[in-house]
Amino acid sequence: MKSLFKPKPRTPSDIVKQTRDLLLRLTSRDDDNMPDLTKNLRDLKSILYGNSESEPVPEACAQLTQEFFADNTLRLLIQYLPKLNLEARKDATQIVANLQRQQVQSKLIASDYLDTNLDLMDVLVSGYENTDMALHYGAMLRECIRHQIVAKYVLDSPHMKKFFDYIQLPNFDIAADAAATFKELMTRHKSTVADFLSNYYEWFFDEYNSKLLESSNYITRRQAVKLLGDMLLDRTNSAVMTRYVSSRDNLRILMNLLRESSKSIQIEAFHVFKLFAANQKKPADIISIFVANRSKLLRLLGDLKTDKEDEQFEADKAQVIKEIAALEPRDLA
Amino acid sequence: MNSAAVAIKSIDLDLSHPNILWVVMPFMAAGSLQSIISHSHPNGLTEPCIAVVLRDTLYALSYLHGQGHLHRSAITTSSSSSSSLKFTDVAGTPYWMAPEVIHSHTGYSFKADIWSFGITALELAHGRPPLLHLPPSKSMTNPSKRPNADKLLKHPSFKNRKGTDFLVKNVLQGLPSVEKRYKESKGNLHEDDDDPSMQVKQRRISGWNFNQDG
Repeated sequence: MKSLFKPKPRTPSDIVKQTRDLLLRLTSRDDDNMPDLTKNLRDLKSILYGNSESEPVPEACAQLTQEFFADNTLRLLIQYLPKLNLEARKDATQIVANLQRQQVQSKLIASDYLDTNLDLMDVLVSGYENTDMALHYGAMLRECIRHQIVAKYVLDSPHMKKFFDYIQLPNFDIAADAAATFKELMTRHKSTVADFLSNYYEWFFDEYNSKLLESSNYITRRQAVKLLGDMLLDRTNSAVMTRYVSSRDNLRILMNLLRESSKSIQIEAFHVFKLFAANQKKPADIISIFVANRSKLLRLLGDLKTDKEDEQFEADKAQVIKEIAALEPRDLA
Repeated sequence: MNSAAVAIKSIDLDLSHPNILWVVMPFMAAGSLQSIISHSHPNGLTEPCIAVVLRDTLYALSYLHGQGHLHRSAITTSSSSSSSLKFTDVAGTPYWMAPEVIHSHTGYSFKADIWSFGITALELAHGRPPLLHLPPSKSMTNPSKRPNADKLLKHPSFKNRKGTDFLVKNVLQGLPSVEKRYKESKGNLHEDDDDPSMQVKQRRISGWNFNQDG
């Protein structure tokens, strides 16, 4: 209790140290610490985010960040989050999120800390299996994977397969949070994603097709076909795209999505479907499907329209129609 | 159940909720100020009318900030019958959204609402948002230099200003109802629909043929 008699105001560094001490004492069942801990977390959040009277002070933020990562305060905060009350959990989540973006002498020291403490990501990802913790850990995770080294760790981990289940959890809030994290993982660090998709192409797209694109859940299908388009249209993923649009099974799935009653899904499916048509090295079985369904495809595409006029969409559609109409059975030779 | 008119709006929140939300709210017969301006005042309102709208917006912001609420993009709407302005929001509209909200670097504070207030003021004056030709995030400004709502209310522009009745008389009087304005714009849209290719009803495509025909 000696620290309680220190003259105020306490420095940001002091607050971090005291917070760490209070977290350590949570291991013993001393609930009397909770009000002090809650207040400390609120104070730390005020330093990082400012409040109605003042803006954040860069020097104070840097000092706080430096002290936070000089020891294992982040580890303690993540591990003991379940013991905190709801308000403290929310403040802690915002603190951790903010710290991922704080620079100390132009350096993101959070990234250095996480590089040597990557096991903390295992805790955060597994949070999706805990209803009470999922949204807090999910928000922290999404900020942490902004660091390339962390994103790579998660992508290469067994957790990736679990995302296909997390995205469809019956608790919609948690499913939506997992979907947001999954999208961030698959789009932010482009060269890392390209390596991931090339290395794990087989199981990843098997899961993607069967669990997401062919899900019975409308939301899941719609999100999945949109994200698929974003991934395949990214220039860094061109090798993966070429491989994906050479598969007859993939074409079947996309053509079925084109027939959906939801126009939103149809439009998103078109953005992927056009890549099959544009492929200048179409395999014979792809050409065969196009020729066999030519009249239906041309009718469906002719009727497909966006709500607002979209010149690029119309140009793409015209190109696809032209490509399909021009296919000759002899192209099968 | 009373017979008061209400507005019922179906909101497709673009995947953020599994169901369509139906929001029941007081029916603002005159519609949004934005639609009023674009219909009847394309070059913006006069300064006295602007002052009435902005003052009432500031009172609302001052109240909300006192309650600890942030209002990420603030804009006003109006009602001709009750002579009152109600405070609404345009979620996710980048032109009214403060830059620190767009970038979400360090969270945001009450200053984000003051940014939106500034954009609204310019739109009332010019009839459209400023800097429309620039990407919104390039119009950066420092949140710490913005005053708060209470400080703004002390500005001379908002003293000894006319009441809301003045606004009704000068802006809303003679204005077609929101239903009529909607039908006018709908009618314009319908003319485009005379295009024969758009008259064709969409026929459902039956199953695909995925058999290998060699």
